[in-house]
Amino acid sequence: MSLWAVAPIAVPLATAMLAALVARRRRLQAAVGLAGALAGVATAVGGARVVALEGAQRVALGAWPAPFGIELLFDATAALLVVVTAIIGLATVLSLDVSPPTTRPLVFGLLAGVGGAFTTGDLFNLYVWFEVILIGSLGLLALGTRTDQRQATLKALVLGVFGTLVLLLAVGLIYAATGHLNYAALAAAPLAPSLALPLLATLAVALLAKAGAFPLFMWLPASYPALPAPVLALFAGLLTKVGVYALLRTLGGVFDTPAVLLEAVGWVGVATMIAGVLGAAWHWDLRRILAFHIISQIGYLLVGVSLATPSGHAATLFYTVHHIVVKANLFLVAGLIAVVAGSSDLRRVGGLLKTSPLLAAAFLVPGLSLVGVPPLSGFWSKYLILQELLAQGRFVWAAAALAVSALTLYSVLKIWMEAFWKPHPHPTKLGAARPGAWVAVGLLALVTLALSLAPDRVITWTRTAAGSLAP
Amino acid sequence: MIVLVTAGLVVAAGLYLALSRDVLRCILGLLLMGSGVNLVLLATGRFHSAQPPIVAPGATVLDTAAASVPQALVLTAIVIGLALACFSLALVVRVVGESGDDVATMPGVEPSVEGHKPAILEPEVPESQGDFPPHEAAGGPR
Amino acid sequence: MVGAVGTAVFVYAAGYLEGHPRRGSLYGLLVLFLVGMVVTVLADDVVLLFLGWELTSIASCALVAFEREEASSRAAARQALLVTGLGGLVLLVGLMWLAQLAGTHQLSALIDALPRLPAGPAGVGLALVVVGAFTKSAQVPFHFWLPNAMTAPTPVSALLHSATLVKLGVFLLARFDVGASSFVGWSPTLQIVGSVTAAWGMVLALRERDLKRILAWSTVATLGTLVVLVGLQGSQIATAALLLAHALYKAPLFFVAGNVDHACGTRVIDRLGNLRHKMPWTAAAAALAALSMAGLPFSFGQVAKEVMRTAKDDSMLWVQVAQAVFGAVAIAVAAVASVRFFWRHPGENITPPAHEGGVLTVVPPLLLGAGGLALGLFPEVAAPWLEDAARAMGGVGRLPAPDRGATLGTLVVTLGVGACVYKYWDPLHFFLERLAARVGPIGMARLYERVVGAVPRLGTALVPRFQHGHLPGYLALTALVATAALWLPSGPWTWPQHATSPGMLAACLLIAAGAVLAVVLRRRVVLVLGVGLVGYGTAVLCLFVGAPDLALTQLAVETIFVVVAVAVLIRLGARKEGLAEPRIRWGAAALALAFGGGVVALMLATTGAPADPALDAYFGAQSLPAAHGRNVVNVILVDFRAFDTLGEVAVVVLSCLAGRALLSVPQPMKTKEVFDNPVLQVVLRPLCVVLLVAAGWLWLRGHHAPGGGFVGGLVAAGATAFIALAQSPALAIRRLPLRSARRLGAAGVLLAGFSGLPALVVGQPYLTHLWTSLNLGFTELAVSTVMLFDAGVLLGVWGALAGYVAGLLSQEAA
Repeated sequence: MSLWAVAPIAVPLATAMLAALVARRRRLQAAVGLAGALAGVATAVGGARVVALEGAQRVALGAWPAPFGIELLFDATAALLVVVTAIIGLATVLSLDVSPPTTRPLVFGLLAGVGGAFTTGDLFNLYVWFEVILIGSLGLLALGTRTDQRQATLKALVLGVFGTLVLLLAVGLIYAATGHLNYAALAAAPLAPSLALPLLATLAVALLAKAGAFPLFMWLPASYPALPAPVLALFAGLLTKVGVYALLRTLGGVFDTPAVLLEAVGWVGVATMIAGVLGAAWHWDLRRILAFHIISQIGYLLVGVSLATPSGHAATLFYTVHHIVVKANLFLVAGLIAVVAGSSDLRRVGGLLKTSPLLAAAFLVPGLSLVGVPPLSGFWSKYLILQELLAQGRFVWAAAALAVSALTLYSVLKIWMEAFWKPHPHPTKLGAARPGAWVAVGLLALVTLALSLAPDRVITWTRTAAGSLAP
Repeated sequence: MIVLVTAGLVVAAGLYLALSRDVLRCILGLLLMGSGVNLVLLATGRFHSAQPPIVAPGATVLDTAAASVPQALVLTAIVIGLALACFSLALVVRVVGESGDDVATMPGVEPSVEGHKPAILEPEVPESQGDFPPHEAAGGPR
Repeated sequence: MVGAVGTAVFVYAAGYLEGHPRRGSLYGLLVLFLVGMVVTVLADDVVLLFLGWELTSIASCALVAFEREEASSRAAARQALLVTGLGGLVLLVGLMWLAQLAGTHQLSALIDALPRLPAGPAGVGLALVVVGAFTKSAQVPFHFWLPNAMTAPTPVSALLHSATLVKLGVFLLARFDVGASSFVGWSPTLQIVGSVTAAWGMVLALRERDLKRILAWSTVATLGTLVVLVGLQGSQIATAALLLAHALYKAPLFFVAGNVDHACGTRVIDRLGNLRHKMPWTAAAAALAALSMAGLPFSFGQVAKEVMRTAKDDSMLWVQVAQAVFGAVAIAVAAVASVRFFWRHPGENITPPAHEGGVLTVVPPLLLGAGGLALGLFPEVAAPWLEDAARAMGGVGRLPAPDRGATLGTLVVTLGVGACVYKYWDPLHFFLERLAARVGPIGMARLYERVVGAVPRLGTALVPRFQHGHLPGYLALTALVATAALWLPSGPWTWPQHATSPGMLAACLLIAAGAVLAVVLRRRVVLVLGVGLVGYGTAVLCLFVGAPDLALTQLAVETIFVVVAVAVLIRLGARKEGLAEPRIRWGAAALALAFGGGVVALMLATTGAPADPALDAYFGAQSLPAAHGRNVVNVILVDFRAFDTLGEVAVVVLSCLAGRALLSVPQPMKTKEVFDNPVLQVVLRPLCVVLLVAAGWLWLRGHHAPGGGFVGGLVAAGATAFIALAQSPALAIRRLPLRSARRLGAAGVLLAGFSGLPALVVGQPYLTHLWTSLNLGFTELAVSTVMLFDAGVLLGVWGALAGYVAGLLSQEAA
């Protein structure tokens, strides 16, 4: 039984190490990677079924009872996020082409860290998995050899290490105050009210920095554009979301968060939304635009986190799932655009609707979903959040969400018009992308469509998940 | 108490160094901060006892001893810190090695940030069709 | 209506777009659009309505930009989508809000419930809905997108922008009218905005020279009239009548414009004339349609006007004035469309060689125009539908029999005014031009552009402020926020109770000295040594607070770090002092002290209360009996909290993989070795053996005494470091088990992970360690998966560190 709960970490980690062992033999490594990704999806789905049938699974590793040992909390939330992670992992692996031999091990290491963060039930363990994610992401960044890529790595390193230091500090202080690290124990033995605010605020700052919130998001646009498309899709889809999830789990589930802190998180979310979409409006480079969109959508998620009700949490979870898939998809499509049209700069591409209608369709699904056009998944996500905002009387936030939606429309329309509609300024022979990349894009588009056309099952799942956030 | 102050001092020193424009100072500052945070973690054990948490040869359970959990946590943190330190050192070596004059400053403006012109809509937009659109070139009644 | 006009449009489009390469996609988009229309119109659910609404917006945007190579088409499409899209969002929020207030998502129920809702909040919701409807139906101040949308192919304009899409807003208002009319602001708002739009739209029609744009403005005006009608009480049948009449005369007029454009290449009204000879059928269709638009007798338009007149009798003076303007100019427009092209007009009359575009382009307009005539003669045919529609809108009404006589008078007057307007079309046009030149900058379209242009400008103002690229700035901002969090009020500080031994004091002094050294002195080597001193000081401190394992590990870590770092520095020949910076950076110092202080403050607040000893007590009690180990810390690491350790070894090995890209592969040393010292060479071999044995011994004893996998791995890596320093990094790597640092590390992690699996076989959770004892004759040896785990840790750390050491030391000297 514990196998299902450990699989999200064990499978990617084993794949990573195996891939590292056979790094010299490219073909074998690629095969190992693919096998690992498929195994990841299979175990994730299996685990989700178990959760659906038997309810949340709590696995005490090493047979040491909680709160003494480390516990894995494989509940509905974790299962949902693990499934999505596995799908993204598969898409990434499919899109990877000839790359340095350490790429696959690092990618799977990253996936292991993400899986660990999603399933752990222990605060210090969470820190450890954040470190795994950090080193994995730094390693992937370091594969670039251009100067700007080195600089990107440096910035990500410094800001990332500082962030995890603050996280470690917060975890240590919380341990000092309560004497526990296990989520359930922490929920049962609450922090002294006078201590809750600064400790949780420090924790929140660290996690907000990881999530890419305003004003701590600078590492994201500084480092993301330096990555190759499949890895970028992985980062974009997962990294920031782990921070959001951790926020949701700690502030929204484990701890009894002071209302003022939640309120602050909400305002941070609004600022993030606006900063992100304005940043996107400034740029012409497709990847930077999309990077800023990540930030903007994280704002929505943060607003959702601060709506501390079960329906608010359910909305946040649904949005998270939608966003992971759509963002990864968009970055993969951006990679395809760069290959097919020759550049990521919108001023230098064009005419793609005529030359590659498939690409246009591939862009439209996640693009329209991002904007929130019904009946796609983005609409449902925004609808749920808006509904909750209106129910709680948060009119300023709702107005901000509206305005940002309109601006997102503007931004996506700009991409569409520049890349697809306007004629190509220098029509040359177009490149062809790998079939694997197309498969990955198709896969993610299918997931988005499934989510769009049948949202009820997922919404019901998120409701259950929201109910079990507090261990 | 003295440990706390020392820890704070180390953290402050580390941050001060990390805010430097010189790459090596920055990285080492981060490492120093890491050491400081480790000290903080150690201090959460409250130092009531200086006895190592090792079960005495005759006994079955631990007598009064220093807190064991913080030590384990710090150990994990140290090793993780070492891993990151190695990576940062490698990066510094690379950056310093490549930058030619072997003093690497912190990078300035994001290298491929689009100039300093805003990406305003190009003049493709038709000249504003105000409520009073310009009349097309046309003859008119003479 | 949708169906009839839609069919006509399809037929027409076939002819109009003959030979156009992308005809298929036009049809596809049109179908999509029609689906959206039908969904919107039939929807009874809030979400479904919004779905159809947005679908029509998107389809229309795509259709407007059909000629996507043209920049103006794209810009117009963008404008249309942004305006109607924003309106749609506003509508959505309004609908959601009302749905929440009314407690239902079903539209009909919602509208019924409207009168009963609290006026204030419901009024806000209604206002939002109204704004959304206004954007769709191009009411002032959202009117400017419609004429620009005329870049769409003519069949599209005929369908969307005259008959169907733009009527959606009116439709929505009409649906809501049933419940909303009780709200105090509803009627006046609709009437005012509608009449302003009607009058303004017509006036602006005078400013155009392109027939399609003229027609577009007149559509705007008609929409205004429709809105007014919705706002009036008891005028539902008039609304229905005008809806139908407008569709029947506007679509053919658009078709006519399209035919002229197709045949002559231009739609500008200035020069063309006398086309009736060349395009008789089109002329006839134009005449029929114009008849209806002008409201001349025997046309359905006249019937509609009649009904409207009775409805408007009791409306405000303002409304009536606007309607008068509207009526007059409408006649002029009709005349322009029909008479001006096809007959003579003042000024130049060029008749280019033109011809009819084919049956398909002629039949639809003729049919629709004739339909207008037929219904005018026999209005009873349309009456049932209109009356049904009126009832649906909550009104009663009968289509009154046209009272031809009484209207003759008004008719003549309006005709007369209209004829004047027509005659003086051009002078009026120029008059307005001059007026415009002075008043131009004010206007909604200009505002749209300012807003749309402002967005990137805002981005410009904002983004470089945050994304400036200057790393210390980024770090400073992050640290600032963290400091703020640390200094949040945390309750009373309590000074810790424990005694400080002199040993602790000495250690702390060492640490402090190291920190100060690192900060104050400039030489890079000193920096590294300072950091190392802090580490050594910490190791000493650990000795004095009862943490021998920790001391050991810290010692080993620091030694390796210092040796490698100094060697690297020397190797690179890096500049001694590093970047020149001001002696004291005050800002950074202040921030750093604030941060450090915050940490101390928060620690004081937190550690005041005694800790909850639950975890420590449990571990202390269970360590020997259940986990078979005396060294509690080690037992925690490899057994109680083994999962943490697994993750941590993963970090270490991943770090080695990560650094791979940054380090050159160790080559056999070609140049002089670093420490070419014969003594060292002799000592090397035995030293390494000793170190490796020590590593193994530390591993074995770790469970009961200070030691363990980590320290073992560190010591083993030390051995590798010595080989690398003294001989060559490549050799050092070759001496490793598995002959590769990367493989060794990966194997270590796999081993550690694997050690948790046997538990599953016996039904225990992962990472439960199993113990058994081996009888070796002279002693009992306890064997367990813990040893495997710790071995994995050792190998992982050894491999990773060896990789780094060898890689760093093989950097070429500068």
